[in-house]
Amino acid sequence: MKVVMLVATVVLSVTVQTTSARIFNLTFSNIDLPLVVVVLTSLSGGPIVGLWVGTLAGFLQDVMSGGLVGVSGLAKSLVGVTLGVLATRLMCTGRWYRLLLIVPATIMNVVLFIGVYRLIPFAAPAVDGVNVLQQAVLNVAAGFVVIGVSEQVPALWSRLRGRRVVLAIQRWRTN
Amino acid sequence: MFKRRQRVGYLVLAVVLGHVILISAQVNVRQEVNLLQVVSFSALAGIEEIISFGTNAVGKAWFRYVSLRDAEEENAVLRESIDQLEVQLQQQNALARRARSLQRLLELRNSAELLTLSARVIAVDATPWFRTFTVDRGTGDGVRQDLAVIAPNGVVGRVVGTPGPRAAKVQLLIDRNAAAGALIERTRAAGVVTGVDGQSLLRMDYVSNLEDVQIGDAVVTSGTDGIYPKGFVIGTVEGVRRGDDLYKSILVAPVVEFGNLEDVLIVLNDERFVQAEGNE
Repeated sequence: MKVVMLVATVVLSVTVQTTSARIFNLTFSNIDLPLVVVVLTSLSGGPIVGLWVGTLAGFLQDVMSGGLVGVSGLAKSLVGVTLGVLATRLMCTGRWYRLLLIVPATIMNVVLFIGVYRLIPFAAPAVDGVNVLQQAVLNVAAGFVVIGVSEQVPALWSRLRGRRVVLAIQRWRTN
Repeated sequence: MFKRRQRVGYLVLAVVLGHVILISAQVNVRQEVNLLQVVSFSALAGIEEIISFGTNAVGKAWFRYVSLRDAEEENAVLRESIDQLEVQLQQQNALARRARSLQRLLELRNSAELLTLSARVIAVDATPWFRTFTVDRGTGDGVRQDLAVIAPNGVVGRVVGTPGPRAAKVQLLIDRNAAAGALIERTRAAGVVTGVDGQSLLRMDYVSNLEDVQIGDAVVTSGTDGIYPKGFVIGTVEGVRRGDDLYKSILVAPVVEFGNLEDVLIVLNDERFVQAEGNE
């Protein structure tokens, strides 16, 4: 169940990443939503979860982009492992710690991504410091929303289930 | 504890190695990871299509029923613009007639009419580093790699990667890895137009310093790349200066607004076109 939820979250993050820019008539989106999901799941699940979530998120991103398949996967899996290891050594459960860690994770992801492209005969995208910083800030904002949603969804779900049980009892009584 | 750490280490090593092999395979053979890539791409494109359909429906409902307050005013403006366009159309028709008669005089063969397929843009690139779109047409509609994609006002890009049955990836002309054979329309100076990183501009390379290029000159496709049909508008020259080496440094502003693209046309009969160009 947990694996299914993780896979669904990653797929959702990639599809939101690719379709949201269309709504705002943009050619591209500078937010890396799959990376945010990788960071947050690695911090709560550890290095192995980080590794697999990073691999899957990166692979799907590569498939849906114009680059080589495997480059994002490699970068994100390493980011996931690093943050997972960090989470086992440090207490990173607080909301603000998790949000703060998105910044170095964004930088690490970009460095690895561009680094791999520099090693191969494929035109590497040029890195603009301002662009990376902007992406980090946007990722933190996206992380804030993702954490908010992930904290609210279980409570909402249990409330809905509770209401459903009450309604079922009422219906049973009236019958 | 040590064993667990060792296990994680081995797993990381295996995954990294797997990725390196995957990347190397594509770089060396210049081939794609077909099956896995096509299956994942098609599955995700399906979800994207549903989301895009949903957001479009909401958007249409809003524009058709909710925001009708400014419709009357807009109507008047549009009528005025139609009047102007009709005048322009007449002028264009006159020019076209003249061009046709000149063409006959010069005994030039009419190029085959392009067979196009309309497609809807359903998603953008999943990373901020490349400029690609996903469209809702695939192999089931006759779409395949390297077909040109155009908009009514100019060139958009080309189909890249192996398309799925109902979706295909389009590399925009503003992508760093994109290129098209181009001509300065006024002087017929030939060059290659490529994307510029992080910008919505294009660069035109390999135009000799001796050529006459001015700001505002129209840049059109030359048809020599075998992908884009000849004579389609790419953009206008926005900046030009004499280069340090043999070639000018030219910046081109594309005519297509890539952010607003909703529908595009995929040119299906490129072979006929290339053949026709070759015979000329």
